[in-house]
Amino acid sequence: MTVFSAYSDDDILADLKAQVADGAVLTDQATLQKQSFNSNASGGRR
Amino acid sequence: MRRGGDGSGLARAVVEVQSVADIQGVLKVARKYHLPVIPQTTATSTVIGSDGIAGGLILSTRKMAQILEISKDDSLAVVQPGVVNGDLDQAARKQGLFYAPDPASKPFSSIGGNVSTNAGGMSTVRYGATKDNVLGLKVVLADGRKVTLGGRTLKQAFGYDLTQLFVGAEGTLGIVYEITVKLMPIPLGTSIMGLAFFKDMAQLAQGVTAIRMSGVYPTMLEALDGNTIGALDKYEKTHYADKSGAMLIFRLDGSSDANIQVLKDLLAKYDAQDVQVTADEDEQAQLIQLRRDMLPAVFAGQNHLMEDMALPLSQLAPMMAYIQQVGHDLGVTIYTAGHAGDGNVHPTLVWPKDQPEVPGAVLEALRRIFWKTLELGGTISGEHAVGMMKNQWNQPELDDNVDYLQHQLKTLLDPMNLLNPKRKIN
Repeated sequence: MTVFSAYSDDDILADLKAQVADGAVLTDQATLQKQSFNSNASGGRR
Repeated sequence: MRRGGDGSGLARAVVEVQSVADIQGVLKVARKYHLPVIPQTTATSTVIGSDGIAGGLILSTRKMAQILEISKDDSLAVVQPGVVNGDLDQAARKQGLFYAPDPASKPFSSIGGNVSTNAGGMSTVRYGATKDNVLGLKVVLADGRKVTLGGRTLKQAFGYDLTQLFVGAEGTLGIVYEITVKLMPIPLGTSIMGLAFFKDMAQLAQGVTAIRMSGVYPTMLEALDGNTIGALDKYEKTHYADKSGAMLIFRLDGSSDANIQVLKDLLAKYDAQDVQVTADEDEQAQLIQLRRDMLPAVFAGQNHLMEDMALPLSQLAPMMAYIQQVGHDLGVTIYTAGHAGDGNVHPTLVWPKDQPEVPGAVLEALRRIFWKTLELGGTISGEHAVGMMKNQWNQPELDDNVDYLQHQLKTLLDPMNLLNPKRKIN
């Protein structure tokens, strides 16, 4: 989004985790990949 | 439609929220750092509606999946967005009720997603789409405010109808965290289902229009063209394609003998062949499964784009003929099926699995089909929503003034453009 952000990824994720008390913040690559590219638009999974 | 080439991208985090406070927290962080938020539940969008956006936050309500209430007296249910459509229906049936909207994804798509896309299904012809079955919503707005829209009444005429504004909004206006839906009493009497075969889809469409207007109120009028029947034959080891070029699967709930006879007479009038009718529940389940198996049968081993237009009923037959002509002219294989009773057509355009890019002929076929749909007074999105697949068509579908008004509404409710940006309208 931003070429040179005032905040690092770690800053943002720390803030996010502080705001999400009941749920879970997932950042592992496998989850990010699976949930980011799950489209059924072409050659879908079912 | 290749990964990364469609504007989707790797999210920064997936947040599985479990409370309203979690949702408000995610939005607070999104506002602070100007991050896109992608609402997601079971992620079954067919229009790139809930894929990640680079650096964004996927806000998953998948784990907010409780049925909070089923009220037999008020014939409604209150659910969290992650409840699976089929699970709600099964729970309602234990109390003599059912949840009517039945998209093909019923076994695995969520009520939240159904609301987001205004999902339809096979029984929309009788019971309406999701929008016709939502009574109320609770929503967190982009600025963190909670709003309660609609309620528990079957009628409501107070204020602007904001409930309907959020149904089909594809998560671009707020995060839905509670949904009140209508439940219907299970019809009394005999339900019948059946098959009928026609010369082609145009003739089938004429028959469907007559049945629709006859007053027998069918619950299902599903059409499959010759290519689709052929694919099903391969998948199911059946021989339906030997019979004709188009198949109709029909259903009547709680019908009288007189209504069933009207249906049979109309099928005969429109030259339907080999009409089969059953009241047996197991055989009916097999027919529904046959319809549901259409998707894996067509998709097997091929790349595909499944489209979703809805036409005025009077234009269904010309549209069916046009799709066939476009496939012939451009050398594109098209499997056409759909919910013929409500004018909803799903042509699936396919190409070889070893070609990752969508062939130019397929895109041209789609372009022609979309323009023809609009020319005939239809819409290019009947029940699958817009996502990133069709938002380039806003201007021709909506016209300038309505397109502008839609952006004004978006700006009013989400001035920082954080909620599912690039989807639906921009």
